[in-house]
Amino acid sequence: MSASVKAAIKQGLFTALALSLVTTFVSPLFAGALTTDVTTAKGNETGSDNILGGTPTRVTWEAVVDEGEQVVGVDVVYPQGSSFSDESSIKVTVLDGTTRMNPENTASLDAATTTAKVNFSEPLQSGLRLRLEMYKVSLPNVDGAVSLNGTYKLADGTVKDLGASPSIEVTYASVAEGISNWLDQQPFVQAWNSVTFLRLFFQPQLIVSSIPTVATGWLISLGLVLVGFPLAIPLGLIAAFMKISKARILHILAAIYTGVVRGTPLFLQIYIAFFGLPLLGININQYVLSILVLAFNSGAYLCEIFRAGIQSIPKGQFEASRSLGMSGTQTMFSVIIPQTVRRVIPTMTSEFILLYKDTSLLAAVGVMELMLYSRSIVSLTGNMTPYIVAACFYLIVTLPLIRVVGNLEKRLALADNGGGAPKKKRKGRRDAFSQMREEISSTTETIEAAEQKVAEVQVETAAAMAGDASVAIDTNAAAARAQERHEATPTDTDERGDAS
Amino acid sequence: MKHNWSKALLVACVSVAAIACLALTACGGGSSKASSSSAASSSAASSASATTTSAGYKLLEGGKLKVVTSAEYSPMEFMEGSDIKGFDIDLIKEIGKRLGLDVTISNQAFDSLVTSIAGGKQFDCSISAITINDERAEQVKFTNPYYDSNLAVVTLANSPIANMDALNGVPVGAQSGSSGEEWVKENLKQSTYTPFQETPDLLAALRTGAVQAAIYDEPVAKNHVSTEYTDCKVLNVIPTGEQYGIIVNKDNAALADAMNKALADMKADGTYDKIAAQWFSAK
Repeated sequence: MSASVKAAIKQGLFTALALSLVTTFVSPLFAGALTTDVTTAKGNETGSDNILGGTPTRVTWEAVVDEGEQVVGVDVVYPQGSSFSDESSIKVTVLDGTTRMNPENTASLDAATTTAKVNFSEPLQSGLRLRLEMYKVSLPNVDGAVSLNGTYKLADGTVKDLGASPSIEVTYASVAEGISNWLDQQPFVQAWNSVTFLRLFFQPQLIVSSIPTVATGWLISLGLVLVGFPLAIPLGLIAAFMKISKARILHILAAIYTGVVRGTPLFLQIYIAFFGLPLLGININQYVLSILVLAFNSGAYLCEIFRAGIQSIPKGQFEASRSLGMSGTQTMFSVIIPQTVRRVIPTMTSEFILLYKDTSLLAAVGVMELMLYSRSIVSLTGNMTPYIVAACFYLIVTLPLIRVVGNLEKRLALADNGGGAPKKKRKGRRDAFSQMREEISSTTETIEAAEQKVAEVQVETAAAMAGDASVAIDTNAAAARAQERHEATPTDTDERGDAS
Repeated sequence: MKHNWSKALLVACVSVAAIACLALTACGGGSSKASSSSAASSSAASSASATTTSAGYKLLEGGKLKVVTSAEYSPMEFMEGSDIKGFDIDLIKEIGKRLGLDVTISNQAFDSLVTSIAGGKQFDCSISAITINDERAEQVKFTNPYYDSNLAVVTLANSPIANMDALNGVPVGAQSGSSGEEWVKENLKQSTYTPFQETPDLLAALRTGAVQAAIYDEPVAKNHVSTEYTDCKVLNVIPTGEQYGIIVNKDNAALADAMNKALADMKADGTYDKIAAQWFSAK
């Protein structure tokens, strides 16, 4: 079990690492009058930093006017395969150091040549930074680096080449994004989305495109609790033994542990562990720390569950085992514990469900789990849909478990009552059934008797007519036939009624 | 028998939910086709009745301007005891005064502000150092910009990170849903990025070493390092030239217009500068 968990966590970590290494930032150092020093595109794959080709994104382009030059216009040309749409737009920002300037300008996007054109009525002086943000433009659908080119115009009319900009790493559009883009175009999706509530909570495109990301978070959450919970079991067991131990010091220690942990919110414990421990010089990987906090928290609850379980075994069992010559430890491990296990399993499962849900609290300290993955999409899109997707991912695990707990509890009640309540009910039901059956068979018996009478009458008539002994055999045959028919359709009273 | 009962109950629940959903779709579809007054009519149908003022804009409650902010961003907006204070707060109170409205301020996580206003049932507007950009403008309506800002890189005062080039590759953090987050994701491809819901958590992580740099808005960063966070420093200011705007629901552009007028008046008569001087000593 723990191997698969480790794999899941490893996968999560690996994904995060891979994402951060997907692209390399090339710093631009080429001579030119207008030095392009920043060209970036916003990640447009839902929930990741990948830049997908052929999918609208926001491209940011920045350049600084060099010494002794005055720039009046810039044309930024997109590589072949790029496209602009009607929704594309451009925003121009000019900065002097960190102070925003507002020079008069005209900016446009030319879809035919995929060129962003900016012209200034007053030339930009050297040292000024020009920042262009181009919204909803699509980069070519390729797998690799692309860069922007273009020209710029000086105040004296000369036109110079911009040179290649820093490159942007583009990848192919994923399946989920493809479906999402297809949904974008569908009239029924547009109609659905025209309702604010449905658009903000159940947007079809976002449901599709957020599933891969939220699923990653789901695996991590599941991994955290699948590793953390088994760690909590021995912890809880040891604490439970300490708590029922006669040694006062052990009892006090366990009481402090469970009291403090159960008496404070897990949220607070997470904050203390994540922000307090590093201050003490203890630096642990945040996933490992998450597991430890979860185990530490759950251990206290499990302690109480185990303690209650052990103490629920009648004292007579201790006494009986001891009188058979078993030692205290023997009694505990071969008589008491096996009975306890069965009793605590439903409560433990509930505790597992609680702990699984509580992994969401780790989002507050930046642990990338289910909640934070969905929240990162919510904060980017301003749409609540990923939360609904996240809810489904929580339910995938909790609903079946809740059912399991219910069944276990029923069975436990059954065993405790020695074939108690539920079985009785079923027995009662069976009684009603057999009563019905009895009624049916008594009816059929009446019919049968009537039939037999008919047969006898026939036989008598025949005997009276023929006075032959061979007919007596026929009588038996008729009776047997009646019997056979009855057996073939024992409950079909209507037909039998008709037959009679 | 018992199983059949619970199954029947489940079926009943699901069908009720489905019918409710359909009814909702039908209603919503109708009203959205209606006209610009759809938002007013649909919220009138729900318990909170929106009122349209003489100035043409709508308010959730007559005579009141319900404002939501994320009060963890001093000096823009922050909690002092149980009061929410700051530059943005003074600004919106002044706007409310000029529109003749009582201003009520609520507190909420930053990354849910745009969603709240887009929903349009809880608050009239939000002012919370929200950078104007097209993605947000798709969901909500911005007023004219009221403040120019940049991003800042904050590190510990004794951090080994000497310059911006050394930043790419170290663990960094930003506020979830902020422009700082977007900048990190686009520009620091080799860094591991950790989002935090509120800036105090981000700075706590910076102090513990969980992240080695925090990227957020310049005025807030400068205020932090000169007040509570003297053990930190602003490594660099990233010139992004971003601007803050107040957001209102898309169906309520008239409210944004009224606010724009109030803002312009405040700038003209010096009230704006007076408020700014109170909160930004350096600028």
